[in-house]
Amino acid sequence: MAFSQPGSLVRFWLWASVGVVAIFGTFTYAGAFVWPLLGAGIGLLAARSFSRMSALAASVAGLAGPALAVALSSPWPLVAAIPVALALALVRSRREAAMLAGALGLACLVLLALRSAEVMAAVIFAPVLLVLGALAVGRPQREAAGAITGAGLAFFAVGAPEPGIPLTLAGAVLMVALGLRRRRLAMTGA
Amino acid sequence: MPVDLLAILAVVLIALAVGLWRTRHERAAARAARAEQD
Repeated sequence: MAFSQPGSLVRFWLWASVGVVAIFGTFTYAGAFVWPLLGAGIGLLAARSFSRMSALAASVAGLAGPALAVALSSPWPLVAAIPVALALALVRSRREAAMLAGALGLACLVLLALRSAEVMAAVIFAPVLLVLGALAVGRPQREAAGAITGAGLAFFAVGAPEPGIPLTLAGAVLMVALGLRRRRLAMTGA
Repeated sequence: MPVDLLAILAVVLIALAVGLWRTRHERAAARAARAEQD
């Protein structure tokens, strides 16, 4: 059974909540505990379609990661649960499985290279690369710009308007601009 | 450095393994649905 796709604006705000959670996961002390659930959320939003079972499996993986991390008192289940949750939510074919593995490998290599240059850049780019990889595997969509807006709103909420205002506006402008482009393409029949 | 590379390899292999397992699961379900239709 497949869920009906929510409308564009709903998807935008769902992506915005992904952005808020990503900022929480990146900059707070206990943030790593939300990584697996963040992976499940990104995977489900980027997926072309998903069944009730795959949504459930991804959510279980998202919750099992932190539970295992606490039980084993090791951070590694949190890291391992990210590809598990993403794959459960996103992958429908062998091609997508290979693409996800490739995208995650590439993202890890980029983060490794960034880390040797500047640790902060790697920290900030980790969720960005995760979203881009998921979009490449699943359905690329302009609504994902909502994550930028969500990140901006999160900065705004914790009292950092300098990055907050530009990010909030950038996400909204990107969403509108991509929508205009799509409408123009539809009008010209391209 | 080798620890980093091992971690990358582990992430990639986990994604591939879960993805392929998921694919097999989906295809089995599709086949069962088709068999039911016939």
